[in-house]
Amino acid sequence: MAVQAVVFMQNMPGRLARMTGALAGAGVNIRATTISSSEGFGVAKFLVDKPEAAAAALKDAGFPVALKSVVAVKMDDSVGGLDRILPLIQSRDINLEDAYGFILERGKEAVFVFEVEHPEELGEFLSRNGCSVMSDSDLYGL
Amino acid sequence: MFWDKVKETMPREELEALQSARLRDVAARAARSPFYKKRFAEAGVDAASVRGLEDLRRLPFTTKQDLRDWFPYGLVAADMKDVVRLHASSGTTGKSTAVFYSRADIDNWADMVARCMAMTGADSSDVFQNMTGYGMFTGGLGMHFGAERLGMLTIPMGAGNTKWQMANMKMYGTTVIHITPSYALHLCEEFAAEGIDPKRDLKLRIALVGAEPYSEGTRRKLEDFLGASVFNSYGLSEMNGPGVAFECVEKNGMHLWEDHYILEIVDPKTLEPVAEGERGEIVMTTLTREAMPIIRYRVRDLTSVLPGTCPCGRTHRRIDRITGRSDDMLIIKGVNVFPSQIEDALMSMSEVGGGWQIELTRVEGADHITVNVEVADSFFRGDIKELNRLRKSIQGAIKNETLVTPEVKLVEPNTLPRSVGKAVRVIDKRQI
Ligand SMILES: [Zn+2]
Repeated sequence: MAVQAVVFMQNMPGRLARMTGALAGAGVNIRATTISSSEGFGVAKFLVDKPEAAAAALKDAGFPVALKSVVAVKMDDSVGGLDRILPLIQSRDINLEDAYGFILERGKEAVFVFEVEHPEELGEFLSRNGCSVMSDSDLYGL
Repeated sequence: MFWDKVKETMPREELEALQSARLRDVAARAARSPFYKKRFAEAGVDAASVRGLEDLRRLPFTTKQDLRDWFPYGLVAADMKDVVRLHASSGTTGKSTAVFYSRADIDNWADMVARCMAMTGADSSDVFQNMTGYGMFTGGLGMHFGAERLGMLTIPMGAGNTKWQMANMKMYGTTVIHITPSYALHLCEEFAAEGIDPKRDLKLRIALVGAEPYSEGTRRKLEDFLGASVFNSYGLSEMNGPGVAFECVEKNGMHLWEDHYILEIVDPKTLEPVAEGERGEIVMTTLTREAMPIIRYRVRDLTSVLPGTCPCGRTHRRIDRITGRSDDMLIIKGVNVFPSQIEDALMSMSEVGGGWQIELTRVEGADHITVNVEVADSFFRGDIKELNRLRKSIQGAIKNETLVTPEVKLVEPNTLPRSVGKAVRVIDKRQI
């Protein structure tokens, strides 16, 4: 199962730069990142090529870090790409905890990342239904 | 104006003779409580050997910790059938303290409060709006009973509900209010916002302001805006509540009712009496209390006794404004809170990392407490909902322990100062 590094941080200046600095120092390449904030604190998520190394580097920099499994799906970067997947997820009554996407090649390929309670189950289900669920090595090797 | 001129102007010698007689009685009464039975025995004091004030310093001190350790009934000296009321401080666990009153205790308390009110110039023709909290706190009911005793028309509003407070002040022609300084400042802002000029639109003439410390600057500000005379008040629940000491029209120190209490000022380190007029910690002994006599109670408030006599004619000594505490107790929204209570609440939760800090500010005249809490490394599993649940449960735990609802901010581990002492645990930015 592919994982992303999830980091707890305070909403204050310089925190994000400190994280990216730590990742760069560890030779970690960031594929995608999102930040959500709530009541004075934030959670940053990093999809990277070397999650374990990323977690270690961020921990060393003083941040609480967790590695969280995700389901990454490759899709066409075209109108309706996402619209083919979401109804599938909905049909299983699965609650999306978080989701984000990024483009691999403009007009060709995009990746969508889903965070759910049971990622293994969702991964298998989407594969069975013709989605191209990325393996760990696929994702890390982008 | 005197409520009880004989008592209030009693010559010092007579007053001290009365104290001696009452100390003898109260020592004997106290010895009937489980706590003092043990404490006197430990100190080698036979209550029957107490003859007067000269024996006071042989008696052991009592602390807030004693009240907690013997909670709830350990200091009750009267038969339970004669106990008619209790008031309790904040805290739902081992930090609680409760104070018990007999019918005579309630009666004496009302009398002292009536004295205080009369001393400021209030009388039975006044309309009194009580704007402090009723219920378990002593501020509401204590002042209420005193106001009725004095014969004022009493409006039992309680704290908050500012629009209604203002409307009542207009409708009923309120002339006297009892209010905390922070709420009074907020009330002034609300009046200004509504375009009400108290000097023009209200009949207010006296504001009894207490339950929290405040400065002369605040008094002037309130007097200017309200067009009323502001009087400082002193009291604490262990000694009944409000009405222990109050300013007379001279507004130079607060007369402390020495026929009901023995006042000592001691050095907080040596516990020896300070020189006359020196600053020290207040120690008080209840002289008339039946249900729960308290002997030599270390109040922890710091002040001094003003030298000389007061032109008003009262012989009861005056204490200066309270200038601090010899412990780390905080007064938040009029509620007594110890940092250790917050620490206990936090440390009972495995998710909390160790570092924490209390920040006190004043927003729109109301105290605001923020507790910054470091999240334990091991707790974080990457879930924002979980963090928000944690915030809520920390908030709940602190509220349970202190009765004050804080804002809780989660911070990264090892970001809050580590050194010991309250200076870094508590940041008090309140200005008044
Ligand atoms: Zn006086």
